Amino acid sequence: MPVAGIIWSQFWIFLVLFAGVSYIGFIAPRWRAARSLEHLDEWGLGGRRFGTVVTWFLLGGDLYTAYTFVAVPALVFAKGAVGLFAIPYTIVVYPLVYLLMPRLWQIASNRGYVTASDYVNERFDSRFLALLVAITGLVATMPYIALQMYGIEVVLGQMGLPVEAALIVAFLVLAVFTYLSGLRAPALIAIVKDALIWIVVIVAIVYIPWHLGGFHNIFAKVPAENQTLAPGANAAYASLALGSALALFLYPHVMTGVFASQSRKTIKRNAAILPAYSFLLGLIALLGFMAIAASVKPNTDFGNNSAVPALFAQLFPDWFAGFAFAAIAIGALVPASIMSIAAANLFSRNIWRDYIRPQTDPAQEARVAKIASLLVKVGALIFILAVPATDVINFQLAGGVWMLQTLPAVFLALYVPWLNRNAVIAGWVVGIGWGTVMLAQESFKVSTHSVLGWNVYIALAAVVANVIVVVGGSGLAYALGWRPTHHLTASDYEPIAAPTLDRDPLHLEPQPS
Amino acid sequence: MPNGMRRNWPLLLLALPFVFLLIPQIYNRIDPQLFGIPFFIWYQFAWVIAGSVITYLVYRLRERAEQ
Repeated sequence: MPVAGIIWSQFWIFLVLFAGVSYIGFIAPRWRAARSLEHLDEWGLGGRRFGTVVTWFLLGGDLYTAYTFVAVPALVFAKGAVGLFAIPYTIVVYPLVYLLMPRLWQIASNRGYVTASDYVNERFDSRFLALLVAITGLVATMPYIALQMYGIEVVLGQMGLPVEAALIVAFLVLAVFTYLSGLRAPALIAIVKDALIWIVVIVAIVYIPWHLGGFHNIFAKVPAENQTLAPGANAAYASLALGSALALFLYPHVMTGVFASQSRKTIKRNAAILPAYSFLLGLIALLGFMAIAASVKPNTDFGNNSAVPALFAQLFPDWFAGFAFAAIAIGALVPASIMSIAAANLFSRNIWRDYIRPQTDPAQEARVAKIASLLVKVGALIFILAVPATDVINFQLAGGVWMLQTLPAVFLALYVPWLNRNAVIAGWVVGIGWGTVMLAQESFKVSTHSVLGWNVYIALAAVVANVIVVVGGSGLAYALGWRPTHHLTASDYEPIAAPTLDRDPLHLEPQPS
Repeated sequence: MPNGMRRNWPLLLLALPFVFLLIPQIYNRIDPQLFGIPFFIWYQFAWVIAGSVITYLVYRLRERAEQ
């Protein structure tokens, strides 16, 4: 569909919703107000007080990003069933979350960690390994933020708005409310955003098949070979699902969402209820098939990524299309805000405090993080405006491969006590190195590569090599006389018992109100 | 059963989604369809619900073993 001018009824409903949500972002500091936001626990983690429901909204908005909602159906539209790997991916991730994240949350809460690198630093007594993990996180996050802005661009383009000018306005709104409100803003906006997204998807999944004559008719128009995996695609499908699942909770923005929650129970419950969003994502993926059946013509600027916005524009009344576009654009604000906060936390803690100003105090730490959050977003904006979108997409793909290479330092370290620091560093080098070589052999365009005759997800192959080096290297170090020293003891991973009236009456102080 | 085992055996259930989703050969076909939706698709949607139920079950079973 050629984009000819602004469709005003779409635009007005979009503008009203977007402005309303921005207002919420600005008043967010008043929600469960802290005495001061001049502390990373407050600005960067919302006070570590989010309960089950708020965490569900926050992580839902954080993990299932606007870009995901655009890219997954686009992949299904272009390549068929293989694009559905997002479903097994977002199912098997939750047993992993259940096993890993409560333990990580507990030690983070006990020891005051704000980032995964804080944990790595103390666990291995190595600022350097912590720095490697922090830089990996920053590098993987930058293109991801840029792609959220790309998600906004796609819908702005579909509405016929001047994309660059409108994007800069959206960006300013995002930057200012994040700076002022910290993590409370995306947490509060996530609630509104979810309501909008659920409405759009439920309407779409009922209205569009009804309009297209039911699922029988839809799939009758989709080529049969696109409805299942091609022969030989099984390994790619399974390894993409598993590798992505292992990598997801290593991302800094996801760590931030988890650390902001109130208790281990909050995380365990969320491992059981977050799959509701996986179901939603699956439904959105099906829109890719519906776009095929509706013979949607994606616009030239955004290619297949405009498949779903074009489908909405073609089939929905204008006002509801505007509503749907607002849902996508607002859906981009939440993860973009959390990602920039997470990147800022990494910079403030693991680069500024650990390397530049060790005597920094909490207030200065928070100020540095707030400024870093602005710089990160400016960087992402320049990135998406100056670099062709396909390159940003490829970069984000590579970011996933690199992110997974921090698995031994963070996840293995939680349960395996005999890891050697230098072996973990060597594993990281091998994983990043080999992963990047494989990506280069695919010209950074595809995330799978042929290894030992199997076409598999590069990240997974690289992390297997990584873990082999870590285990072998630790064994070698042991044989050479090295013995593990523990800076953290088993009790550091256990809940700290709160003093109760029976046991310890003297410690009961009136709570500050 | 010793307490550690009573608390930890439910963790084995968490392996189920991995087995039934990471071997696509199990479900990579069109028939039987459900409301016109290929088996490949509705099987995976069914596992979204099953996976969630399993995780919740494990949470409750371990919670109970702790008391």
